[in-house]
Amino acid sequence: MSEQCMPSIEALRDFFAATDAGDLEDAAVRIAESVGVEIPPHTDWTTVEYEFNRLFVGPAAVPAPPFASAWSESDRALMGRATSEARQTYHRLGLAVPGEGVIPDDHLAYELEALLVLKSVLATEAGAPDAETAALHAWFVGEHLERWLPPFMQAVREQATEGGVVALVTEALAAWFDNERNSTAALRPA
Amino acid sequence: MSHTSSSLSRRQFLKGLSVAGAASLLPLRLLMPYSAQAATAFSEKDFQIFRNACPRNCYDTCSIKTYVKDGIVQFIEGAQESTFTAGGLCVKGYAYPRRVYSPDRIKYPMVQDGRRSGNWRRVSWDEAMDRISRKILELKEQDGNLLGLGLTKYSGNFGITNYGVEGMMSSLGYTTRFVGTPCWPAGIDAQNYDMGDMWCNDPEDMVKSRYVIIWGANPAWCSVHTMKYIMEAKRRGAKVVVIDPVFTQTAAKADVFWQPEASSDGALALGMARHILDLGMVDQDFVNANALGFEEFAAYLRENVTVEWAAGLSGIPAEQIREVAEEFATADPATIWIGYGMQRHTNGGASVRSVDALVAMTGNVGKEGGGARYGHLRTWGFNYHALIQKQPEGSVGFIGATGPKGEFDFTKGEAASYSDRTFNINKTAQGILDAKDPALRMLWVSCKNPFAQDFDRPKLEKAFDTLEMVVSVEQFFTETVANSDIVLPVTTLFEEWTVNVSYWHYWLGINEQAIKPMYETKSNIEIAAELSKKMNELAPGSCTFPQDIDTKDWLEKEFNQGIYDYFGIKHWTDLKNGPVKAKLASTAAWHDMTFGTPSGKYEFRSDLCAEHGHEALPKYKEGRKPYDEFRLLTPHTQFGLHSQFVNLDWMHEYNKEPFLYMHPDDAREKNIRDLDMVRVFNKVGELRVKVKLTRNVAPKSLVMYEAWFGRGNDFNVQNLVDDEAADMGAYKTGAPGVAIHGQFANVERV
Repeated sequence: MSEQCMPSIEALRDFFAATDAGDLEDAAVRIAESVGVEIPPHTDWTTVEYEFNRLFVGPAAVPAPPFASAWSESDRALMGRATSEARQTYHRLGLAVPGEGVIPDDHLAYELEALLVLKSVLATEAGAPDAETAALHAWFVGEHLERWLPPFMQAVREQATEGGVVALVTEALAAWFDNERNSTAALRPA
Repeated sequence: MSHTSSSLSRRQFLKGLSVAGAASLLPLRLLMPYSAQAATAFSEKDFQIFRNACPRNCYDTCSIKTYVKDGIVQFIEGAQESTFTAGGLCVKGYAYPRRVYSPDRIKYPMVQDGRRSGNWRRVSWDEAMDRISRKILELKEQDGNLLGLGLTKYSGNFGITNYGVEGMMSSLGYTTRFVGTPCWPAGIDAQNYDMGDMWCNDPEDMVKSRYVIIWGANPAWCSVHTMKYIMEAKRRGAKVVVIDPVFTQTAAKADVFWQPEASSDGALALGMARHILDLGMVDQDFVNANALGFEEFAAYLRENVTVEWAAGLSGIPAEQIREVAEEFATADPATIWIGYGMQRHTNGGASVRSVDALVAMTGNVGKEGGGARYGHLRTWGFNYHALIQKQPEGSVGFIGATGPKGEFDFTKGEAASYSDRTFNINKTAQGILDAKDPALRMLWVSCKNPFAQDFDRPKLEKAFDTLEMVVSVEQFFTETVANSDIVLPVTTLFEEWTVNVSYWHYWLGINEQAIKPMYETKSNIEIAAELSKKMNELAPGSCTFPQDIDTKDWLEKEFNQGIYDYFGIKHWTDLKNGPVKAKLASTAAWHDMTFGTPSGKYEFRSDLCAEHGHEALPKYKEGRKPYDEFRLLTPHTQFGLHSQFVNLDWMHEYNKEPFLYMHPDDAREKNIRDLDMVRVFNKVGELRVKVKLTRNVAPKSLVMYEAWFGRGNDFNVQNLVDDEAADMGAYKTGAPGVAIHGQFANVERV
């Protein structure tokens, strides 16, 4: 997938932050457009919502919790070290999750937004990018996200309806992450 | 070389190296510089410390210290200030952070499009309350009352402010309540007939006992903190006898283990009593001065009971019965812990009365280190501010007699022209199916998981299917949630203010809010306030529950001078320094020999008991007749409290799947091998499960631990347990108990 047809991070963020079928449709359509694929015809967005909740929200035990801590620690719990890493990253960017501690800071949607901020800061800087910000970006992608996004996406692939919207979005996320990982690889310590 | 450098301590040496950067001078390849800061040293100053109290239905009701950093619970430990908790928690307690931070928690209000469909959608609290309120108003309009709205709630959260759930129902009007308890009612009534209340010695005084009989309880799993007193008594020379149909971990610590035929406990106790009578070992001072009807009891024993008869019914050799009886009568003091398991029979109340009589006739009632220990509610004298709410003006309710709404109902005595309609909690399915004029159409479930705890699951599912709306308030996705239309996420103990006491020990502990409520969770009283807001928005005056509440203020409203005096504190905030114990005149229940019975004495003959349709004397009552080849026992598991905790990852680590346990001799006859998949079946239903063969269970019995739930497993023992009533319980808890262990089933390899 070329740089031009990378999914928009905003749309990925909005998809994982969705609370209902309308949010999901809005975000998924933008993701599909950005990567040049078609949403399966006759998609029932309420059915997509059911699947989204089954995988990521609940109320039943979720096979793919969209939180870094669930995948990064030696055991499957939230609010662990990965959450603190995410929180500290946001703080370094002068940001914070509203009502810290209510929703774990390492929810995928927050992390994608942080990426958006990091990339935006790097892009707007004239001349050579600030080394510290670039290093933070590289670490966040290559270390933090690298620890949890691959197993998370694998869990989604195993559980999501084949050819469905969630599967489509997950592949878009995977493509974006692959690209992001490659583009920051050079900045990571060997 | 200077004197200073040669006297460096090891710690200073390391520090010195670091300062000198000496490591950089070495040809290192594998090791990297390390800053020896206090990263590994524990300091309380690094944490905010909160007081919590385990609100589960457990003897131990542990006082907890919660260590929070950056708004996140880092770990918890048992409070050292409580000599009962003594700094330690049980395996379930230590897993509490796994509950609050489980990715599987219920996080948002959600609605299900079709019960058991798994098709869930998120809704806002406002939308959830709107749907619920409109349904309540519809029932009220169509039925002319709110009796079509039912509440089933029990012991999922014993934090006192959680009685606001019952308060919420009252604030809506007169509703239908499922009353009674599946837990301990037969024994409660028995102790009330004998002594006038259920009141037990301080468990900490068990160290003084010279003889301890643990009868149908498994504290090694279900009250780990009490074990230390039993073991200390043993260390001081006491003999420990365990009586249980299963060879438990408690039994493994005993000097004597009896594995009697289940439900023969009354016969066993009476056989011992007869032998003590024959040997003239009765405490005459006690029975003459403090008891009523002993001579009639003695005559009953002489005419109807022999040791051989007891041996025949129980399977315990007569010689052993004589030996233990003599030892028990001789030891001073001697005590019996009457477990709840032994009264879950059709003769459970009668059996408890027989055991009480054994303790009383040997003069062990009212004695420190003695006692017929069952439970108590002496420390529960709160205001029940959250519970006591007024019905809206003009509410119409049920006309007719109503009893207590459970052992924790402290609101009795208020006369009203209308009341709530009450159904037996142990026959929930039948109650729903039988409800008429009006039918039960809507059910609110909180602090309870009926599909795991209520009996005859196949019937319960049918009954739920007749309901028009089911609302569950939960932390995790249970089978009950799967059978609901709306689920509301409720807070864990770390996210709410409340206060807790025990029905066993005498400690009082505060439960502070240690972290912000996660996701969109709310406490039960906050949920009630939300409902009230919406009800009044749609129909002003339709709900009296306060709409804006501060949960800390509501905690404060539960305290009164009586509580302060009993526990010797000036204010509830004193509890922030740690739990406190009641100031007891004696560790012995009934120490002043003033009993709560009509006669004021210990009643071997209880006319009240006879009035209630039972025998006046603690006579033998036969248990339930077998209706299938094996006795089925479904006792508590080590890794859960009823259905709570069993789904957590730490528990699954040790308790990966449920099993049936059966005796190898029986298995051989059925051509069943270890770890085979089997089908257990009876008139109620069936389940499939792997079998483990063990001689820890008696021949002709099938044992499955009560609950297991998690992904990909529909194990549920209530597919096999029916709702047969126990003999007692209606007097004090509003409904009879249930014969959980008076069950039978068959098994085959699949």
